[in-house]
Amino acid sequence: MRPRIWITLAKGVVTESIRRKDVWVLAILGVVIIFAAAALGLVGITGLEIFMKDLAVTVLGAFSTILAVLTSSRVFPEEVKNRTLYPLLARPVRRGDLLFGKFLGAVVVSWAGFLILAALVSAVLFGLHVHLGAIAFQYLFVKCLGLAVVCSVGLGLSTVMTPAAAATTTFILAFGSPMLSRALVLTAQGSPASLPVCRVVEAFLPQTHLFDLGARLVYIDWSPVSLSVVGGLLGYAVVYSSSALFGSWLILRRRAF
Amino acid sequence: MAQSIAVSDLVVRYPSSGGKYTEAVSSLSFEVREGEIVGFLGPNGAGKSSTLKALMGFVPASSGQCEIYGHAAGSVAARRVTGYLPEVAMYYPYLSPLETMTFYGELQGLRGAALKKEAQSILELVGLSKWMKTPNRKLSKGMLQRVGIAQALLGRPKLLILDEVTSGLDPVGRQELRELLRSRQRQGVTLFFSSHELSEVENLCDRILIIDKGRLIDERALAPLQEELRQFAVVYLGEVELGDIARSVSFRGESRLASFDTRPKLLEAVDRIHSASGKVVDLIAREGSLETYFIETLRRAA
Amino acid sequence: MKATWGACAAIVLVGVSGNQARQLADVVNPKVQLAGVEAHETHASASLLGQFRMSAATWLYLHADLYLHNGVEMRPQTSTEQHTGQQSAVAGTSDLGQGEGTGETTVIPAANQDFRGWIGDLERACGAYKDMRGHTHNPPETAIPLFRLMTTVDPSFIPGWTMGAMIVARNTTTGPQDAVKFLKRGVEENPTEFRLRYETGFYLAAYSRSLAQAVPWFEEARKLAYTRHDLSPDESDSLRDTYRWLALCLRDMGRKREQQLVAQEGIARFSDDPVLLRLVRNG
Repeated sequence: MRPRIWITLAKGVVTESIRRKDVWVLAILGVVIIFAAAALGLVGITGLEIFMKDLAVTVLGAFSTILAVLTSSRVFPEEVKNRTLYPLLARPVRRGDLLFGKFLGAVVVSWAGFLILAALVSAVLFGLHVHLGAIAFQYLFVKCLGLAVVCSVGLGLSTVMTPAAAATTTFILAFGSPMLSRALVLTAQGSPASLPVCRVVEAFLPQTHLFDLGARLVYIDWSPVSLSVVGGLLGYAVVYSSSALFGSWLILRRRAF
Repeated sequence: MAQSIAVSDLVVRYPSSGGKYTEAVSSLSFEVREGEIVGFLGPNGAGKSSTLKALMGFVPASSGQCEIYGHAAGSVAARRVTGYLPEVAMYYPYLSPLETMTFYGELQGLRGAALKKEAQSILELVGLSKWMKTPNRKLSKGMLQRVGIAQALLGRPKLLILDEVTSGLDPVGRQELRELLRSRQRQGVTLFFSSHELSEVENLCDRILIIDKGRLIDERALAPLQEELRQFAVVYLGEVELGDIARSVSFRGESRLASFDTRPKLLEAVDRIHSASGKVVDLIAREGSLETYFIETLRRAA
Repeated sequence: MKATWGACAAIVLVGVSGNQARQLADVVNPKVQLAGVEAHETHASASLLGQFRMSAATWLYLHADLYLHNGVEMRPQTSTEQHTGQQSAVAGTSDLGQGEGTGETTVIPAANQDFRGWIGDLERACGAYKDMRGHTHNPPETAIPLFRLMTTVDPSFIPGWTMGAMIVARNTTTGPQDAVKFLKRGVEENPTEFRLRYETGFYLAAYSRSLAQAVPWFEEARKLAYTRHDLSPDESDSLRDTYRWLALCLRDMGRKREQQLVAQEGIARFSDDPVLLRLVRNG
């Protein structure tokens, strides 16, 4: 019964995303990619294979994260703002199910957007005789896990913030994740007394940069990561997303609407 | 008769600035029996919507108890038997009424052809058959209210909680809604609704609850109240015997005041006064107004 | 009749004055000539395009270092790291990156410098991480197309031309000639830029030993920079080197008097430069 409720709620998020023309952003982006690739093809890309892959990975990473953040951080506050939440809450649906269904919807939208773009980019690269190799599949899988983490953060923050504030904070956490993490390492190195604080902050920060195998995909002769590493990433994604959703549920379950 | 709603000592508080709380509902207790139509009345800010939200579990009760068919208000079991129409009806702008019904129906646990059939029949019932596939964003306020009523009726709920049910409806729509709700009552559905349209309340309700400043200030069955409010009387001069048809006869100086239960008795009394060469000084024929009663009740409570 | 003549005269007068007025129009409201250089000040689209080109070229330039390190991101060491001598990434073959080999380390920290435990291990496993102590570089030619692209995207991006020429020069046996060709394109795109002329002269003199061909390039660079007193530190270094190389070339070509004049002019500008001082003293 509960999975059916999750699926129904997720379908709602996906339908909204399609009808709100979010998919147009992807379509326009796709057209831009094709035209840019065609222009480069005319000039000739000999020697630019790494650059092409780098560009593709940058575009994929940026736009899939943007889509994940925008979708996840607005699904819940929009319901409150538009007052569509009341008939929804009046149904025999637990708030936890509501949260998880919305999370599932945001994840599906961001995954679909990412995979569609990835297919498009791969086709364009293939047309230009740039081959990605087997590591590309690992890149896609791991990136999808990272997008789920981003969605859990966006959705979680949106239960306590306005959509704009939630989106901005999630953007900072998602794109600034490597910088924040490295700043903590340097802080701990420079001031050992701050180590306990750094550990706590590190534990709460979403480590979205771990899910980016882009550099290994782009540059030469990097081997795919081992299965144990993929397992570790999967475990981290599940634990972090579950914790973020559990925290959101604790806030949401007693919240007055 | 079983109780549909049982509220006892309900208190709803909202946090306000400076760490203080605003009490929207204070020690409210009432019951609604199965199959009743109960109007929930009160001025703006009286606590009606807060009470309805507490009944639906949208706001937690600060203290006290709310039960729907024996289940804690807001629980999944309580919501399973309840249909709810929010005060301001807003529905997903990117869905059509039929899709909206399908979406809510699936959350209600309905599936497949049965859901589609029920959704279509309810939409026809509320007069939206022509607009079933039109996106909600293109519908007028009145039509959206009909979508709201339709979604509340989904899943054949035993209890309907309707907040400002006639809002945005034209006179024809109101009449259709009245008939629809009466037919649901005949099927055993309990109706608990708030409205500022007191004429609708008079036309529909079995009982009214009046609250002000979060407290219940009056609870009356509507039929006896209407009887009470009804006034048929004649002030006359002369020795005329009306004791057999009048409810009461009293003296007012030289004249007499006779009160009657029904209009025909009043007319018969007038005939008798004329035939006995008496003189009618004044004639009072009033059905009585809930609005006047409501305002006077609020004044008394204040 | 008089009226007719009067009307005709008035028409003629109006026509003449109108014609005069039209001639004055260009003086009163001069037609705006949009030089390409000024377009960015008057057209938002041009400004935006210009900014995009600059950003794209800078992005590509920054990526050139990543290309040479096969994706391993490097950063300068902090003062704490330098004091404790931690994880210095001494370059094996490179002198491309400015200051590289003396105080750089990987952006992803090494395990012994990382408090994050298994999260750090995951990052080292997933990211492009290597122990870069004594590291080597990918063949420079892998970055050449990148420099060609960045100078095509933004032809006014001088570091693209100069660094690109350096990599082109190392590529093959014909590298110096190719570097000169590459720089000549840069000069065409940036006719007022003295650094590219200096660089062209440098490859001709230092790599090809074509002193006679190099001297005109140094001369032009000197002339272009002579009146400029707002040079950045990089430009100042280039101008100093221009004087040095020009004086050295003239000396080796036996043009002693000219060499003295150039060296003295250089000292007037860079009074404590030991090379120029020696060239003046020893001839």
